[in-house]
Amino acid sequence: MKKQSLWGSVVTHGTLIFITLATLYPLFIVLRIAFSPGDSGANASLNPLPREWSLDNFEAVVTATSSRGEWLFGRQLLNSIIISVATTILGIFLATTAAYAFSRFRFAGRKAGLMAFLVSQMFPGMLMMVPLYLILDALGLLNASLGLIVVYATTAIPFAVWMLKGYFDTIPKDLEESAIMDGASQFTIFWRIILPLSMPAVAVTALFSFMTAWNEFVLAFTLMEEPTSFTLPVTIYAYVGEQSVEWGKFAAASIIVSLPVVLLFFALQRNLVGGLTAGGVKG
Amino acid sequence: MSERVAAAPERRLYVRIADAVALTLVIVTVGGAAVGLTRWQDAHTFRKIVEQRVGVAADQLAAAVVAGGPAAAKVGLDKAASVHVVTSGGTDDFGIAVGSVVAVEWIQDPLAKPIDATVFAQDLLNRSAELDDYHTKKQPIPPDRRFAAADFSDDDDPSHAGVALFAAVAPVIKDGVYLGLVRVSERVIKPAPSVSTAMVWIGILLALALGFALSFVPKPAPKTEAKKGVKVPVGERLKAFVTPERLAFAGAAIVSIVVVLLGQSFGLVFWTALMAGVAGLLGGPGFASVVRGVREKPGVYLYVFPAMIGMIVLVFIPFAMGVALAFFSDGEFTGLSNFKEILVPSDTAHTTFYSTTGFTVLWTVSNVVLHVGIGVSLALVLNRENLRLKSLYRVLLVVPWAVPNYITALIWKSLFNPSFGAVNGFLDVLGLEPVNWLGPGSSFASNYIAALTTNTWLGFPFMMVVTLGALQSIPKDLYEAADIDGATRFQKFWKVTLPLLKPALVPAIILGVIWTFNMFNVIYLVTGGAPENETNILVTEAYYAFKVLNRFGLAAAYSILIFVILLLYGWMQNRMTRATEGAFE
Repeated sequence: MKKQSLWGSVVTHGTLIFITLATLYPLFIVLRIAFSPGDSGANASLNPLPREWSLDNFEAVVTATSSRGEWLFGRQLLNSIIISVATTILGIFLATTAAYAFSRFRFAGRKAGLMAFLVSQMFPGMLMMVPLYLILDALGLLNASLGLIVVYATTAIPFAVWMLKGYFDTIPKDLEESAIMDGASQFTIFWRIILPLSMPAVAVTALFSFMTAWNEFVLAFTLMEEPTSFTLPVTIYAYVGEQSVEWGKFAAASIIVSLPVVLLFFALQRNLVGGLTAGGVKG
Repeated sequence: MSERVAAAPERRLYVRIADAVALTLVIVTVGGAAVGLTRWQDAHTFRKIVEQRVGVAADQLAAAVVAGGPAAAKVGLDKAASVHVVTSGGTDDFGIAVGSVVAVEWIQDPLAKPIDATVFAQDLLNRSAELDDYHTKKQPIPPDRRFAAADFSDDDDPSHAGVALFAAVAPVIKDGVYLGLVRVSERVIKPAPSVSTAMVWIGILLALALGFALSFVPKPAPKTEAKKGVKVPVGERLKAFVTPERLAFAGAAIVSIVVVLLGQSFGLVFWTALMAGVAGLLGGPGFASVVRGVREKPGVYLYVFPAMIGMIVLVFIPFAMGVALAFFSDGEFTGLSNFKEILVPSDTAHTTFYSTTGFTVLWTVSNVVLHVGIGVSLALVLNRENLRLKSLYRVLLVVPWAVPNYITALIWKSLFNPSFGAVNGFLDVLGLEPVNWLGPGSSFASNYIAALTTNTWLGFPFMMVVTLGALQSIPKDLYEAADIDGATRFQKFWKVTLPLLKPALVPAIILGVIWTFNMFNVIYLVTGGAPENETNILVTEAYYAFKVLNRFGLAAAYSILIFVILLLYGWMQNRMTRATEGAFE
């Protein structure tokens, strides 16, 4: 490519800066609402900075307690962390093993299995809500963190398996063949060769599994009964009641909940581009 | 035959046990689903019967109060545990102070505990005010406000084991004037579920025995290529048809039906079992080859099993149960009536299934076009080699993807707020009139634009990242070759870039279409269907049937229609673009 002219680069950067600012502007407004006292930040002004700085909303969100005096925010944060981390670990285990088999072995039911994973993405979640409730009840997992973890990990499987399978497909088979010559077992190949070489895709799988659990609220709200066993998103939704909306607290809680995921995105930025599409473009 | 003999030694005991366990898993999941549904149906039927009883009692009581004053409340209600009459606003026909509890009478309630009368009265009054509202609006009282049920089984009091409290309210209306309401409540001992735990264990043991027995059935001979023109005897064909796996499925159906017969509960379970049996007979051969595969190379399946079992128990079985539920209303089998209700347009509703589908398609197409358009354009710019700060732009432009989508939806709802939203603030700066974007009196166009903006903001980063990944893997020499041939920029994009983006973009577009088609959060939280359900998509209609109307069968029917539409789309797209072809090679 030729070097761009000065004007060309000014136009390119100008457009990009404009688009980036337009993309981030709504988030600035959220910051303004959160850092203004009470709901006063929710006004039609275009100024992204609060007129008066205050941490009241954050304080109110963080110190929220139940009617019984339990520290709700602390418990819900802990629930969210435990459930999301456990979902990530379980999700990676389930998805990498399955994707490895789908990528490397030819077996009866392989095509049907892959197709079933794809089709399951089309099941509307609402259809499964009542049966899922009944099944978890039968398994004794209702109102238990483990129930949510298992449900989240399985719902994250199909997308993760397709993504990982695509990535595994791009790893040359020569490596494994020479490992087999050296007497390596199938599991050693998976554990010592395939997984280390697929770290970008595994990282993306981890990110998506984490996000599934961290952001979800409909199931968390349906399958859990006690406010002390809710996850943070359920709390956020509670601030946006049907009658009155507490915009200040909503904005503050949104920032607290979104921040970890945004930071993870930043950290895994490089992997995201490679991990997500490697499989799709090989053909 | 010789192959069977040769195969015999490898079928050791542990292989048999593995077979038996595998088959048991299948049988137990089908049977377990049936048992779960029976219990659910039992509870439902029980609830309906008691609700009807207290409902009738409440209506009778209301009539008695109209005829003879509150004193009549004590008369003739043996069944009722307690009766309460509360007056609300309006005429003081009976000479009673407005807003007071007239009678709190425990007629027959061995388990009655002293209750806080003031709290109780306040609760009734709140409800009374609400019902008053229904009366002035001349609307029927919705069932969930008329009936209440409390389950005491789980509280700490041992005398409450298996006890539930049911209550019904009825308005007292005299000469068209709303006077107040009566409430009748009844405590009942809940019947034990018709399918007991013992029966479930017997079922599991039966299944285990059946599975073990079936593992002794000899393997079918490997398929021989049938020569054309050679007739296969019927007996041989039958033998080939009766595989252990088909038998297992038939057994699953039989076990479920036996369980049902023992529990004397038909309906839902019968249909579930029937469906499992039919599915087993049709899917038998595929399942058979899988079972054979597991015998031959168990190590391979070990990798897939954990994920597959999770998917079966928590995705596919719930799906099958949900499908069965679409043929039921209020726990009773009603055939296709739910589908009929959706598909046959009614005269009273403002929107029909077809208009909603039309809007859903418009919504999906406009969103995906914008996502792909913006995403690909940004990716092309960001992929330029000599662009400075590109990783910074990239990081910042991905942020909308990282924010949970319900938070995004609520953020944009506040931005489009007619009185304090920044969008109107922006219009004001430009010297334009503010627009009533959302809420009462807003137009279809403004609601649609608000939802579309929200979802575009939410969705373009995914397409951008996918395109960036695909662009990076396009070999540079292709462009160099195109340069040598004197290709223009446009030609390079059209002839080199786009065809090479296709393998990555088509699956992303399919996923994008599926996600957008079912994008419940944005529509529900931003527009809520306003105006007059015109911006509802099929998923929000299903949610309305589920949460507001409390009609799960209707919601399930909607969901099935959504699934069928998406399946048809996926099938067509796949045929046209061969998107998933490479994946199966």
